[in-house]
Amino acid sequence: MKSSWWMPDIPKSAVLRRRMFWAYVFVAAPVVALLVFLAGPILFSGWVSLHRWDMLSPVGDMPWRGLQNYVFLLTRDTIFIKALGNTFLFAIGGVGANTILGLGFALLLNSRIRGRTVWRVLYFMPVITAPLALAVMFSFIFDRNYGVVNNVITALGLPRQPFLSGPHQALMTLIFIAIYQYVGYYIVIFLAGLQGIPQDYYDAAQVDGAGNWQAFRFVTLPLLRPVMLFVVVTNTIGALQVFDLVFATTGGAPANSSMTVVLHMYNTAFKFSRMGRASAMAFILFAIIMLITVMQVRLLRDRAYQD
Amino acid sequence: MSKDEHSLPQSAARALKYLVLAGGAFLMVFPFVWMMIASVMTAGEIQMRPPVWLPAQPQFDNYSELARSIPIGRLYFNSLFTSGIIVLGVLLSSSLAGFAFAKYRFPGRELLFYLILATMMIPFFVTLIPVFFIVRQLGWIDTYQGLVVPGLASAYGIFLMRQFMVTVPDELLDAARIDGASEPMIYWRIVIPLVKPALATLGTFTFIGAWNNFLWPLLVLNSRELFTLPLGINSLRSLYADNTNLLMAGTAVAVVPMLLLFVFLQRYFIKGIALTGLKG
Amino acid sequence: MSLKRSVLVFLSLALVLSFGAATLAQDTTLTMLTHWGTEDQLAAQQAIIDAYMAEHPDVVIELVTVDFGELRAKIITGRTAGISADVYHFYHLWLPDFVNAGVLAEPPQDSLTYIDENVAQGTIDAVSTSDGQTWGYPTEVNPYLLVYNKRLLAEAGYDAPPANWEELKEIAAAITQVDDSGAISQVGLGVMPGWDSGIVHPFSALLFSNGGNYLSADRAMAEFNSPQGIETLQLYADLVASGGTDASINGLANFPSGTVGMVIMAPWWRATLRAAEGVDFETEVGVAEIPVGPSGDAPSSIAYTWLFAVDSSSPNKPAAWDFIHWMNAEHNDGAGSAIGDFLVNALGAIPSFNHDQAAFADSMSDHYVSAFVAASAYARPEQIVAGGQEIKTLLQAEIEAVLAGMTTPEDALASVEMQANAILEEQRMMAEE
Repeated sequence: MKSSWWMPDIPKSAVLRRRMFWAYVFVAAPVVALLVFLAGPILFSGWVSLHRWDMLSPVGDMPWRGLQNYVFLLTRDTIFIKALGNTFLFAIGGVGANTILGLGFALLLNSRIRGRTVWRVLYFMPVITAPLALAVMFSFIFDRNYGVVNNVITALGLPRQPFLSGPHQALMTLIFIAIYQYVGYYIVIFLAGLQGIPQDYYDAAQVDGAGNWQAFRFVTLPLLRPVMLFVVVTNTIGALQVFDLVFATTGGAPANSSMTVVLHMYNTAFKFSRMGRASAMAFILFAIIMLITVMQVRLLRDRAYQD
Repeated sequence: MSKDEHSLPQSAARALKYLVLAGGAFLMVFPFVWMMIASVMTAGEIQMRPPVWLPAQPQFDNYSELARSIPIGRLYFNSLFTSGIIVLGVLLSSSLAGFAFAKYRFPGRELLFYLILATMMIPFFVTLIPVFFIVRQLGWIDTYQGLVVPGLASAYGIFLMRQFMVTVPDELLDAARIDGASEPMIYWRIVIPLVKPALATLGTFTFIGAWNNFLWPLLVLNSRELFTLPLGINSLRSLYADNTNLLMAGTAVAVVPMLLLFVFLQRYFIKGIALTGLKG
Repeated sequence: MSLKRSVLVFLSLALVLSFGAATLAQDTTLTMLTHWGTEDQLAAQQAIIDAYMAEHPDVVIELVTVDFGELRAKIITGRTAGISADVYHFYHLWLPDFVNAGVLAEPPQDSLTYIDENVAQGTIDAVSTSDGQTWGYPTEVNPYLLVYNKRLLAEAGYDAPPANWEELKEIAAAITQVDDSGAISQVGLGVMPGWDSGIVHPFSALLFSNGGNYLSADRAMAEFNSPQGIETLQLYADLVASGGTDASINGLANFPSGTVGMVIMAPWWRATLRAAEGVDFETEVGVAEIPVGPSGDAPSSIAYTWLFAVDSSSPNKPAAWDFIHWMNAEHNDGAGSAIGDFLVNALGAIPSFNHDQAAFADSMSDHYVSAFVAASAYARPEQIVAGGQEIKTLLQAEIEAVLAGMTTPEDALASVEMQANAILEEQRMMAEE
């Protein structure tokens, strides 16, 4: 019998079978834990998303609502639709800037430069700081009246800005904070990727008469594609789920202009006691993340193969 | 184009490079510096018009006042203790499972591995409430166990460890078997030492995540005695809504020791992080 | 092996931890959950608890506090987790949701009688569901009034606070100052975006002073989308247009620093204002009635309430009610209750019980709180209804949108009304199911 892709032959020898036994022992605890704390909860959430549930009544008594929660979210929940738009903007702005800035600064640090370690440490500091602490710091720094940014702006004779309290600036300011927080992480990732490109490739390019730009375009970029893929995909998945930062700065205000999907989920679940609707929201977000991830992987991978 | 660049005086290009780096670094460091400065101002100085940039007299009393109103030591202990256990758990569970997926053939291997890969993309919020219920069924709400146990296994960790362990040569394992080593001994004596850098990576990653985690502790903990640092900062937000100087002092106390630790261990931190981009 | 061992170690650690917690469970243990978490407030509450425990050696009371922002979530998650507190102190708007879900225990007849005899009817209604059932001991009563900075009004040329909306608009615009950079350095009327009560309560106070209603009397339909409601939101739009209000200058944060002329706020602000450096509490902080709108004929206001109640799953309900009663009842003539003392002296709030209002009248006689005491006589209790928190949050966002110039008063109220009525309808259907 030929072994299928998912079911290899059970080995006949006792030695191999003992080995197999140990393999099961090794995977048992982690897999059970993942089933209990990931797979099971996902199914349960899916089930709840088809009901109305206030989290207080017994699970068995949830009234059945079919797809009503999904329909409501996609057609009538204006906050959700607003939050989706904001979250997309947040992800596009954050991922775009972090990719460009991360790569740019990594290129700078990869060139002949003094004190590479010190620079890296400085840029990396926000990465290890709790988002909640950064939220508190930046709420003060961007304060309309006492914030240091406005102190500088007005000292320069420019008009004071509302930043986090302005309906047209709150989301932008949050994007800025997110860039600030994570750019150091992507610099380090890109730098590692750059350092993994063998010098021979550049030497060969130089022999072919390629300049700096051409070397970047035809050697660095193609070889960096896997790293790029990693950066774009992980950053997008993270950005689409932003919570701590918004929770502790604007809370979605003013007028939901900085409301994000996960914050709205949190409010729907714990402020409005609508667990079913919050679960449906989580699944819609899940579908969106899947779709975007698959698209990104396709796009960046295919082009990697073409080159 | 490249010609133009070469024609620029080398020193000017270099100066520009350092200028950009320094400008960026200033932006990175300034918020922390400003937090420290504001933390030793008086409430009046923070609201002064025109603004003041330095306190007339540093108010270190702000910190003693802070120490009187929040249990800083307790918050640190809780954060360290729970993050530490989560790191140990993730390292152990991920390396065991990763080892099995990388080096053994057993029925269901591919299926399980793809399942684990699939769960990596799930938004944490999908599982948040059900996990809360499971933890409640176990009677672990408002306990260290409730905070820690759901984080002990990581799909990402298993994936990462498998990627690293695949590169360990089979010959090494077979040689050990011939010498009479049992499978757990092979794991512990041969494989683990070989993947230490990967463990460091995963450990760093997990630690930062656990240390900064906010939403799960917010849900699962009620007692202030169990609060972790992010929850402490969150309480400060309402406690010192009108006292920005004290709020900054509190945030500094929560943030600065971690930054110092990072500066000392930066080599390991950054090496570890850098690896994820290559193997992930 | 090592995995097994670590699991064992972990499990035994878990057991030790949970036993450690359980050994405290001697006699009767009651847990009280409140949101009064500052150092002073904790000490004051602990003093009350200690006094009770001294009189009742067989009862142990543990105090748990969470921040206001997480209180509702904590009550809900604590319930689902089966570790709910025995005694809650919570915002009355959540009462119908909690009652529908069976969270609360009915008070014993003695308590109901005591509340009936010692609390004003309006406040009793505020802690009762529409079927007339009262669910707990009301605590703070918080009406809203116009708090203003006398110095800023005088500098703008006004020696009296506005009595109607025309004056309000005129004075607000006059106070607002734009500095050299073209930015607002001082604003007439401060609003409080980002905080649901900070937006919806002042709106309601103005709406009521313009002859409007929030919900219908039977709480079945939203009524804020009326000509009076649109006029109220138009007032906001006018204030923004004239510069009298700017949503980016938060009244709550900036009035204490002396850069906001007027804010519609509640009595418990006193502690903050007393400590404020930018405005002198004694000489510069004034309190006035809510300005009357064009369709209104007298100043009105809104008052919200909090209450102590008991969890329906508590194994010690009689003990819990006894403790609540002890905290709220007057033990010696004229001495007031422990909670009354706490509300008045630690918070600056107005107590619900008549004996507390009498006993602590002196502490409430300053120019600031006395105005709120007077307003509590006529302020309309916030109407509570299942889904009320959600409606309030929706309305908050639309009012903020008007302040930001992102929508019109008509569109804003029409949109919330539709959603609010859908929520009320759904809640009714739920109740019938």
